Amino acid sequence: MGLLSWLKKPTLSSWMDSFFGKQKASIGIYGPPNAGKTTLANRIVKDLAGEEMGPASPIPHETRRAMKRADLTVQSNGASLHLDIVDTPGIATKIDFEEFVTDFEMKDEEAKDRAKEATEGVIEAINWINDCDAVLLVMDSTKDPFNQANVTIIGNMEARKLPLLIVANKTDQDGASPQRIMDAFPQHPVVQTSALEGEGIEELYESMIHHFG
Amino acid sequence: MPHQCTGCDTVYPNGTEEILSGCPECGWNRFRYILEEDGSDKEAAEPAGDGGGIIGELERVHESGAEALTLRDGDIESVRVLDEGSYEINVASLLEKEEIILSIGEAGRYVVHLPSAFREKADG
Repeated sequence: MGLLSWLKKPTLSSWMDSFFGKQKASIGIYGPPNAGKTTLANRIVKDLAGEEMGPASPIPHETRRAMKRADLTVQSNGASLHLDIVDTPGIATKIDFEEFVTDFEMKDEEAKDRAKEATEGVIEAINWINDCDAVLLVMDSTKDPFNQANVTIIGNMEARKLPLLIVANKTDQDGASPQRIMDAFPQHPVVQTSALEGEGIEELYESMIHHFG
Repeated sequence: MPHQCTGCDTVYPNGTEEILSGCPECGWNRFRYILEEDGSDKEAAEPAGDGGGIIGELERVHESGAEALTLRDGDIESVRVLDEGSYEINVASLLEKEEIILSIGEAGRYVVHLPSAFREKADG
């Protein structure tokens, strides 16, 4: 089922009301650094609004401030859907400037500033959870998903009863194993995507309706 | 507010039938608002709480020679500054507590972010 048919579903207009109790939902995009959160946000915003959200980069912690794209509107046959998308900085348990120096040849001062901003970004990302109605938790399918940050985030969102959809991203990369993510968190729905290649995005929309609706 | 087709960039006035029935130029069915000022409502999100700049702020408090604090029972540091540019972050503490406590360098030296601590008390 594509996005167009999804939009035409009679349940669409009642989705926000029935689940969120309001007409506009704030969807937070969370996850560890370099999982593809901004690439996914760009893909969604490009799809719905024709523009990009922010710069994506192979360097971890490229996004160090939360970015919100407000009032995304999709309209079709009289139905409309209103969303805010919040792209958040990566959540990590350890940030060391030397990673930027050794892996990305940054100068010490620049790397230290980046590390401090990234740490502040983690705090900012977590503060935003209170304002989110649902969360897309993005993970890199090539990496072990069973780490402290992911487990802690998922446990906290379960306690908050916040709707959560795991996005197993980077499926286009060698060594990607979305199954490993499904096995690690079998209690939550997992959608496989390559935000970079645009694969699985319509399935992501469908899953948002199916699991949040 | 006018709408622009995200497929072919054709602009339609607000309220026109094409927005509901689809773009007659390219058949696409997704439109975005055209804002009058800058053409975009993308924005840097305002922090939902205290967030941006807290580490720098607390480090400045520490450097000013503020007295070291003794933590109460149950207090858990949110961020440990191991060295300049090197941080350990207690994600669980940040998720569960409003209060932000920064541990700097040697054991036993802490800085508490007062706005977040007072908010916890006000909310509690």
